[in-house]
Amino acid sequence: MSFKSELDMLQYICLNFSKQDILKYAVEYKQPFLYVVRSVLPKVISFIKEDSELQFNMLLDMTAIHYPDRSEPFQIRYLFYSSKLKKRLTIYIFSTEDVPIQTISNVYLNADWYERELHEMFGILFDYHSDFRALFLSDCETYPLRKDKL
Amino acid sequence: MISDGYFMNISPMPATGMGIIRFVAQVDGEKILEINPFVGFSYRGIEKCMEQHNILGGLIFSEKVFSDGIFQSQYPYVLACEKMLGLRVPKPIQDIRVFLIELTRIKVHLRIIANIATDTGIIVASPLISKMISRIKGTISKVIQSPTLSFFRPGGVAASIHPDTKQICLNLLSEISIFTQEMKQLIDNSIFKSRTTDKGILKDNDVFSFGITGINARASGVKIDVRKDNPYESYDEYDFEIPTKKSGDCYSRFLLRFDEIYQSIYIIKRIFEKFSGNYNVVQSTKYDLDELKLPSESIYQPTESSLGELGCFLVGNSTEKPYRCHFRSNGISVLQAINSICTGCDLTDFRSIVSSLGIVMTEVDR
Repeated sequence: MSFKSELDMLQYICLNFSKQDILKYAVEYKQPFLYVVRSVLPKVISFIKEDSELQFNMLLDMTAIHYPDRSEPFQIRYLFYSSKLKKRLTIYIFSTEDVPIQTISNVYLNADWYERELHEMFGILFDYHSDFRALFLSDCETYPLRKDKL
Repeated sequence: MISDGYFMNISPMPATGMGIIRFVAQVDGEKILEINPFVGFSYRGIEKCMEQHNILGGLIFSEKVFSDGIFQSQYPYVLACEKMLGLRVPKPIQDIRVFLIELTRIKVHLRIIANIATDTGIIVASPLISKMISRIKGTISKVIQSPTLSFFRPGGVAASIHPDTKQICLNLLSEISIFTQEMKQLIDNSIFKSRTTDKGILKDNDVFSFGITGINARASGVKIDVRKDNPYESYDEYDFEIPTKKSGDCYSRFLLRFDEIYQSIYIIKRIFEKFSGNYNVVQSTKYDLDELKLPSESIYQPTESSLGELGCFLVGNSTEKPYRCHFRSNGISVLQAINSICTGCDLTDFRSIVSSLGIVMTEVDR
């Protein structure tokens, strides 16, 4: 089975999860994206990686955006690539400063440095992550990419 | 446990114009048991700077991401701005951009080939290639008739190009194709083969688990190319091929760079076949970029640079300045895989392995 459009692909993913788990899905600028509840992220990621129709076996990028006015100020973005479909998928989750997110560096090995970078630049915590040494800035006391630390 | 293993600093590397990185290797005799890269020596906070400037100001910072290929570095940012603002780029300007990008690709590949040759002991190749690179640079500045800095603009290019561009570039291309064949004959000898074959093998499952794209992935048999997967600008009009190799060692990465150069030459020739009009009519951008506001949306624009996927993630909030700007670099994935590539290899092969991977530290550190 091949998906006719990006929206079909997103609907296929959403069928496998309950309605509360997926906050939103849409296609913007031909790019499919999903907003997922933080607690189900490991489940969603193992599904999109293992499912034979999807096979999102590469993590291309990880970033965060800081919105200081929101109740959950950090929006974390994962970009996946499927070598089978030749398509990209963006997954967003929301997080706060004190609640750690479960690491995905055991599934995608390059998430290790991305998570270190996010911890260094935004102060986002990741559970079960072995190494939180600074990656780029060795002695910076603030979180430079946060919006309120100007 | 290792009985007489010790730690060794290998730094600064890669030395030739690719930025600074420090490696700490755990070695047993001459064998590398484990290698750890330390990055951040050229961190300039480009992402933070771009949040504080408008679209035109951010253009200057976007050039610094990959300073060896200025056009390739600007390209994802420019495309992302265009998509967000809904600016339409005329077909001739798209062609000019693709032509300049491919010429830069040739230039960067030649630079990396020179580095591989120098690190394997063929030092005679580097001055010859440097001469060719400055020839390409000279042609670029002659053709675009303006400074290379911020030539690409959202909505077009900064100035109209030289009226004799076609003739100048076809002459250059014929020179390049003869030159690359000569270089291949010069470098590709039995000593070079013995120093690169089966050295620094990147396995295809490592490509997937570390998210490596670009030439390093294609040398391991994984066919990934943004120009084919999601074509941007006028790339879908040129029926170029994506060359791949299977073994994933230093030698296949070296050969693949030559194949990519031939494909780039092919693309540029196709552009000039189709585009036979008067180059003088190509106008520069008409939009006043200081007043345009980015909408409250986000976009990720991937492009295929010489090093791999270089993407720009842009978030707007209805002001002139982007709310967040992030660059996806391929080097950060390659550096994480370097431990699995280099474990078990000799210390003497390490330099050539690193230069064959084509790591540029300005792109990793940002």
